[in-house]
Amino acid sequence: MKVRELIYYFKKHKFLSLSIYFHLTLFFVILGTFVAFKGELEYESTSLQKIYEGKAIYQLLDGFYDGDKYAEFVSEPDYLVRLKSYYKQLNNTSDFNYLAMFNQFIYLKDKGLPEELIEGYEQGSKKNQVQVGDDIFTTVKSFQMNKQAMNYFGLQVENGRLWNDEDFKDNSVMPVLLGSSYQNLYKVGDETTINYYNKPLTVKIIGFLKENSKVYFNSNTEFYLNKYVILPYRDYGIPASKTDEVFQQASYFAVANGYLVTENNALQNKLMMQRVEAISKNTSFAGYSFIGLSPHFQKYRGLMTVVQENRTLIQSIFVSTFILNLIVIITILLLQQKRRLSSFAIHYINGATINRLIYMLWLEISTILLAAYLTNFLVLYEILKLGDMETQLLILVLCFAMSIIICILLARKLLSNSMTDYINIEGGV
Amino acid sequence: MLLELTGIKKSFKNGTRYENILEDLDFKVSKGDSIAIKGKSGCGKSTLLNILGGLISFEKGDMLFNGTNISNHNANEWAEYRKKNIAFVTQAFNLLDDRNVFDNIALPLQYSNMPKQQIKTKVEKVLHDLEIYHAMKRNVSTLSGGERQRVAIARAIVKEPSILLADEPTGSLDEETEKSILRIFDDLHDKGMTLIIVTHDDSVSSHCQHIYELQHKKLNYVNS
Repeated sequence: MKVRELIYYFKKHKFLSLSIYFHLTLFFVILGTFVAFKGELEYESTSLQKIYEGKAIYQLLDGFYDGDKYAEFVSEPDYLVRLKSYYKQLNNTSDFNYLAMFNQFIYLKDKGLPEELIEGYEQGSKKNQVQVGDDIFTTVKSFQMNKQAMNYFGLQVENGRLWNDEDFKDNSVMPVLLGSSYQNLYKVGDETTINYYNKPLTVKIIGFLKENSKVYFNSNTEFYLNKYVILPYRDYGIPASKTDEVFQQASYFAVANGYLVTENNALQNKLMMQRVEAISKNTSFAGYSFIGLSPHFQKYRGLMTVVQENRTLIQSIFVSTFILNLIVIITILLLQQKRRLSSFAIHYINGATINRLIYMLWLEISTILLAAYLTNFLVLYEILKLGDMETQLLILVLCFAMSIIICILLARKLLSNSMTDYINIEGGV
Repeated sequence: MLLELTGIKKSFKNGTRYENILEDLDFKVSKGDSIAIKGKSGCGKSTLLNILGGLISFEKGDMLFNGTNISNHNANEWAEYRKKNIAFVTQAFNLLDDRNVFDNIALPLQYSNMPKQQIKTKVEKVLHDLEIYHAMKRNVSTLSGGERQRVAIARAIVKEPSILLADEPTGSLDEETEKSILRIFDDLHDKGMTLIIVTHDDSVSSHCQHIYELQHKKLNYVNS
């Protein structure tokens, strides 16, 4: 009987119900979009603030760009120990952040890699492949970083996990993170083989970065990692072979050319330079130089201010639109249901109880609300893939709360007035 | 005695103070009676009818149905009382215009959780009896006033109530249609149904066995 009554109701009020349904759907979609947008904006703004607010950045360069100087340095017996110590001290000092990052390509075992992942794809490069035994390896984009860089840029995983301290130790299997474009090729826990600085390595996928994860790199303020295999800059022990030594040499020279981040004031800058000088002397690793990259940071500070101002503006506009819409929707539903009271009176004199009428009322209201919610879910979550389950749950709660509020307001009317007040109105609606 | 009211008092709030509509009212109804209640507008006729139908409560007095005091019924018990024993016919017909004639008449039976087939049989019979079978599938909004009142009566009697309460049942009908509706009431009375009709129309009250007048908040027996 309840279903039949619902059908009667919607047949009779089809145009009004449809327009309320569309209005509600639009309302939920806009709400969902805003919550998703707000989350993204907050994430962007917070991470931007964390990264750029009041900070100065410098790139540290080793002085071995001259081939002869380099050859001379690597011919020294303890050069690798000094190089390692140099990096270790830079990485461990509390006077500044040391972000070791580089985008050295790697060879990855190719099981049908899409072109977009290969090194130099954007510049028109074709697949560069080598065959090792039965396997074909292709050069793919890869990015290496230390734990400080991962933390500093606030990288997050879509699934799996980020690196922990253990992952930076010299274990037989290297734990790697993958950019979001790799989602369809691998899953967390998969192992494969790479060749990195001529060293074959077994790697294990421990997580996938969130889509559009980015870092500041190479003067690029938005260096996206979606198409990259991200390797940790690990600490290595004594090289086991000459090949291993060459591998470590390349790896440690890369980390020695990292980025230094300090608070943007003269004292901190001076402290930073003094600390680098001390580490250099301490490890006999001379010939470093700095490149100040602060203009990029200045640019971002300006951008952040704009973002924050816009955020406040958008939030204010949304909140007022949200409240206005909510009032309009509740009022329309209330007015429509108020007109139903004479119909409820007819049901009442023919055997319905007040509780049953309130239940019918709630059913009518919540059916439209639920239909609108489901459409919003389909559009936002399934088709546009905007927002997360939490946002959808929030909208569902709002939807439920709206049905309860409207129902309570009308139920109060049904309970406080006599049903006979609504009898004798012709043609119950 | 089918229904007995003793010492009934009912008041309504008028602004800041309460105004008595019925006071120390007594009323007895035997099974098969046909009773007309007359009175001026606003004297409390409809209020009395609503009390008899269990639609509104009263402050004082007792109401006995088949010898049982039902004055202190709760909302669910009153709903049950209405569902089993009472049917209403009103001046405004009170039909649901979102459905056809059949479904309007079937409404009280649906609230009794009667099986579909039984509902169909009962509704079709009453449609035959009231000569509106031809309109069974029509939406009530397309019917004439007389047809609508027939549908309202059909809906009232389909559940075979103990008492049929009618509030100005011919108030919005023309003379010809009024006569045909009164004939239906006569037939129902002849078949043993208890009728209580609120009216200010002498031509309607003249069809009833007993006539009461509501005056000075009490019922006065006029004649039989």
